[in-house]
Amino acid sequence: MVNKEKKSILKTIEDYLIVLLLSLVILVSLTQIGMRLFFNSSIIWGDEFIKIIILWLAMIASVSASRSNRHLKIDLIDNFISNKISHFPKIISKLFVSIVCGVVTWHSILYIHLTITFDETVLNGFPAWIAYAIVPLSFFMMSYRYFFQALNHIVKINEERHK
Amino acid sequence: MILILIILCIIGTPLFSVIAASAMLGYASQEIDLMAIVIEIIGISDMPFLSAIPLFTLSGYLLSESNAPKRLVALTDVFLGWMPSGLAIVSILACALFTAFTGASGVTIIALGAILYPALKEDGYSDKFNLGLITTSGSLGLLFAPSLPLILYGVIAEVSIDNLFKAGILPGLMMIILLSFYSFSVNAKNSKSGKPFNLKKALITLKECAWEIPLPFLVLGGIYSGFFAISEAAALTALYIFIVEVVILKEIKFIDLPPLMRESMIMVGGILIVLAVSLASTNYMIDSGLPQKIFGLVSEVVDDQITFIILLLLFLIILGAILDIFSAIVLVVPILLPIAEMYEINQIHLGIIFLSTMQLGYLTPPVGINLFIASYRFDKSIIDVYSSTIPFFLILLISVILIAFLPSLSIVFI
Repeated sequence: MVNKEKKSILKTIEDYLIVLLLSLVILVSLTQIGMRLFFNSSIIWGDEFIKIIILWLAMIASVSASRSNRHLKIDLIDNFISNKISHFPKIISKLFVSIVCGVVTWHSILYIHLTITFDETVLNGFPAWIAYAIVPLSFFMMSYRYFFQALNHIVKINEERHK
Repeated sequence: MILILIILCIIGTPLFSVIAASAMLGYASQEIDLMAIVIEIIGISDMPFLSAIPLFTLSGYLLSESNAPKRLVALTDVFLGWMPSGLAIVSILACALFTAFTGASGVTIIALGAILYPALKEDGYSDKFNLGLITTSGSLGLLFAPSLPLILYGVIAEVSIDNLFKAGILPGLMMIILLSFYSFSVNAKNSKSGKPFNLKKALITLKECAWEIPLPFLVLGGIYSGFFAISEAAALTALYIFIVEVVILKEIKFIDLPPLMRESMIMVGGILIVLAVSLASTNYMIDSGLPQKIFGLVSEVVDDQITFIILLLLFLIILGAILDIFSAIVLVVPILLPIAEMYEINQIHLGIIFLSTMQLGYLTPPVGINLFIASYRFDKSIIDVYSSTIPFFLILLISVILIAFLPSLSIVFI
């Protein structure tokens, strides 16, 4: 029960972050256009800000795609193989994604540690690690999700056996 | 190792993870720190005009949720319905326009097919023809601005997106005209001849579409004239569609916006994560000289441009049959560009060849997405859908061959 509630909070945060970030991209882009047309100037940090938001949007949207396993893939299994035997390839592929995302998470933590050591900044003095932190966060989320999806398939196989 | 990765792809593993794994294996074998892949992933934010992709996708989703598809069909019908086989031609044009604005993700078949399929049936066209027509038209506007694959190619190949937009015009029109001729010749006998043009109805329909008609002019005019960058045009389009469909026409409720935004971003997330990890894997492949190696192999058997183009088409048709268009662009274009350059193929021309051939992939088994969407949407078996598309596929194939061997079709306006 606790687990379920926690999950739904995460999903809500995820959904609202996507809405917020997408709205921000539109607003800042429009402000930039307006400034250029009417005042012949621009927000100095505007373009870099949009770039960072796009990175965040891409990563969070990717986590969102993992929720329902809607990442781009070659869809042979779902279309041609019956449900019964399709569990095994799904377990393998989901565990694989989970491991790969785990490795990326670990190396992005190392990278972020490095940017902290070197005091890297973005947006005129803002610490870079905050901007980049979305990479390990979202790869961790994907690793976590795919792991549990794989477990889910194992549970289903067991259930089907008992039937 | 490569074999394992291929098997993983075939059993439906999300492509981004396979690409990330191959990049990491590549880096590890060169003793490059794996942090490099993280730097590449963060590097997507430095790609120019990238914000155009989420913004145009959002606009496309908003358009499909509103009644704009209905109005678009009504508008084309009132102006072109008088022609013989009018409704078939209306379907082709409406689908092409709609796909250009919604990013060729199969949404055309769902949004427009639902209106056109029964209408075609009512007008006496055969079921097989309708199924083939709608399934094929679902990816027809791919070459017209501001379609997502066109933008993505521009971003990856680092060529001017404005020029790509111009280059797509004639090849895209050619496909439309050839398909229209085919529809006309097949249905010359058995469909009702067009209904007469009705001025009063035309004016009413025009008025109904008054808010949407300026949109293509705003977007395309702004981009073609160089007044707006593509990412700016994308932001303006999103704002415009929001104001029209949500604020003025109220066809989308404000409360429905957040789930719609999230839904549209799932596709974007899928594309961008593949793009991010591909930056790492293609960088590795280019550093290790893969394009030169492939060129070395190919040049042993192929020494002229014509043979190369034939091989290229075959390769792209096979590629399109297994990979979706976005992954294919991101993965293959960086490797293909330097090779095509050695055979003196213009980068813009290559883009149009690439995209038009990949368009065939939407209709080829085993993974042609249009086949599955149409099968699902119209409740027909995959085999039925597939066999109904064959004549249309052949016409598109002829167009692709013409596009490939007549570069001036693509580069005449540049």
